[in-house]
Amino acid sequence: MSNVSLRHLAKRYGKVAVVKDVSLEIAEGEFVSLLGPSGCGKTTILRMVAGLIEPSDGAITVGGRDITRLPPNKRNVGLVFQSYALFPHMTVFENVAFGLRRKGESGAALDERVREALALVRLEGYGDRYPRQLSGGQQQRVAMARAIAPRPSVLLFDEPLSNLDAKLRDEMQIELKRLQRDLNITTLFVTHDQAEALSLSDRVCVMNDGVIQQFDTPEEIYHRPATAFVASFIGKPNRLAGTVKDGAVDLGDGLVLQSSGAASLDDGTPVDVFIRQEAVTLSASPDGKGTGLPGTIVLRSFSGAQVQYVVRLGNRFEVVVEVASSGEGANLEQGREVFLTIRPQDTIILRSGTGA
Amino acid sequence: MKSLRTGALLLSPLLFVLLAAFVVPLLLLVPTSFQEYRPGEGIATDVWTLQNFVRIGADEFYREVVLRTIGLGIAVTLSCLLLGYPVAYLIVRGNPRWRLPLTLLVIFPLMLNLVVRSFGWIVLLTNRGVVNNLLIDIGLIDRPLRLMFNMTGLMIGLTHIYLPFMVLMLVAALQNVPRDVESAAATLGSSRFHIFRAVTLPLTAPGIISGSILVFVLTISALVTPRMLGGPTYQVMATLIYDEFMLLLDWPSGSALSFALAIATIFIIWISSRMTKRWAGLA
Repeated sequence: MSNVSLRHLAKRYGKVAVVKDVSLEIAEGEFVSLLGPSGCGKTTILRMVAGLIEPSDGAITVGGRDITRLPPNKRNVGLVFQSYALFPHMTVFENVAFGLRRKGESGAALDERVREALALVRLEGYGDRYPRQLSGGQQQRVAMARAIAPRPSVLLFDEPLSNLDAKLRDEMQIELKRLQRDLNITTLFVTHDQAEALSLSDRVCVMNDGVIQQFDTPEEIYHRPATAFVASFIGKPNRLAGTVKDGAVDLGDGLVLQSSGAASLDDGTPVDVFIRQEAVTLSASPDGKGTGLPGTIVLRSFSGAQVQYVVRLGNRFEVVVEVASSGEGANLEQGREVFLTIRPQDTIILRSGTGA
Repeated sequence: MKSLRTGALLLSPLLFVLLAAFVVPLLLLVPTSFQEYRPGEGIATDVWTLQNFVRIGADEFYREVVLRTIGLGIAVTLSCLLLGYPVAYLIVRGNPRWRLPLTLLVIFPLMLNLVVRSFGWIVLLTNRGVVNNLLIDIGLIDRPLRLMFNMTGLMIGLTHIYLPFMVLMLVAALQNVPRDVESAAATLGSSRFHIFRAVTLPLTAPGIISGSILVFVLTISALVTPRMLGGPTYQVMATLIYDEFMLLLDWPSGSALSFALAIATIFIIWISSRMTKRWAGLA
């Protein structure tokens, strides 16, 4: 259990920079996710921490110890792979015992610690099976037991849940969170699934193109994105371009959107406004205060708990709106005139041109 | 049911060739192997005897040839494995740019006729050959080493000829070892040598088994190379069977030897795959 710090970490393959000057401080026992689209360099960072890829620049320290040039077998990290990477020729017991044996553990003490690790992932009694006799979820749990059994100072996860089906993934997410809390091991978790990152992590590090976009708590990331990339990557936002005018945003076509962030910006500033699909309320009639934006429903689709509408605003915009299927505004038919209400504090306003 | 019929249809051409050209002639030889050969007269069809088989174990000459053949098979297989594994490892794990040239280098000898390659070895290994002359010239030895007409010559020649098969099998096996599994062992504290011993080697066991079976079977049934490098007197089973059939016209003895060789081969393959599988945790 140690804090991890990455200082000016970089990885280049020839002229291509995959990771560019990444610095990150992870506190002891903290659960941090690296979140980003594929190719953003998150897995490269993870593998550099594990020692499987050598950094081109920068330093990695764990608990104050510089491990940048250490081979993987001297680092005391636990890595869980997307492909599970179990030893197919060994039983579950031998898989879990592998790291312990490398540390010189044997006999009754070894048995005890393997049993303990298997109990943690609720696989008691599976010791004699081979990986091929287990389901995907069970294999992933063996991989976790194998990684935690030698009590590593850092746990690394490389998209561990992406090979599982949706239902199993939700279950494993809860297991994983419980496991990490119980063990209190510093954890670095790589994923491209934002729901996974937000629900599991103490802090999330959003990456794009080898650069950290924002490193903050899930709440901050969700409600106060620092860059346009984070705003458009997290959640399912609508993006509307306009200019600031009298403390509101002029979207053209006579549409004016009230936004709490607009007051601090000068008139005429080009801005992007991000509005989450669930932050919009639909009503069939104007609310009397005249703040609703008029629009036309062009598409309605029902998906169980939610109903999605595509609403045309003026000539330039189509906005996706998500409402609870049991609530108000769930039964509006296609082609109907509606009014959109968005609370000024639910809009995210960023100057145009702040990142992708 | 439909898939079964489709399967049978797909198999039938090969099945027909195998039946007509291999199984039937083989079965026709079964009675022959239990008959008696009378020099000057031919095969006595009226007498049934086990003599042809008994003689393989009882006669000192036959016994020596059998043991020599099996010993040669094992030795060539092991040396192909030891020489081939590093090459296969280099092809799969080395710089990708060297992959194609190295693979071609391995395959290249296969493009040359077997007789030519064996003759090449005669030029190199004979008493006044390239190797002996060189060793005498640099003063390492006074008299030529006996490199032909014995086990040494056969070992050298057959190892060279069958090495490509082993390498190609091992390349395929190594390509199937997931890198993540090796990486996992590294993060769990394995040194590079331990990763190889505990993960890579056992995971390539299927390739080791199939490569070894292939080389072993090819070696003990090889005819041309043992005949050329072993001469008329240093016999292995294949050359002996050839002589029994073609020179002595003793078909009963020849077929008995053939069956003995086939049965011994199957038995050795079975035992060795079982052992390898158990070691690699595949059983």
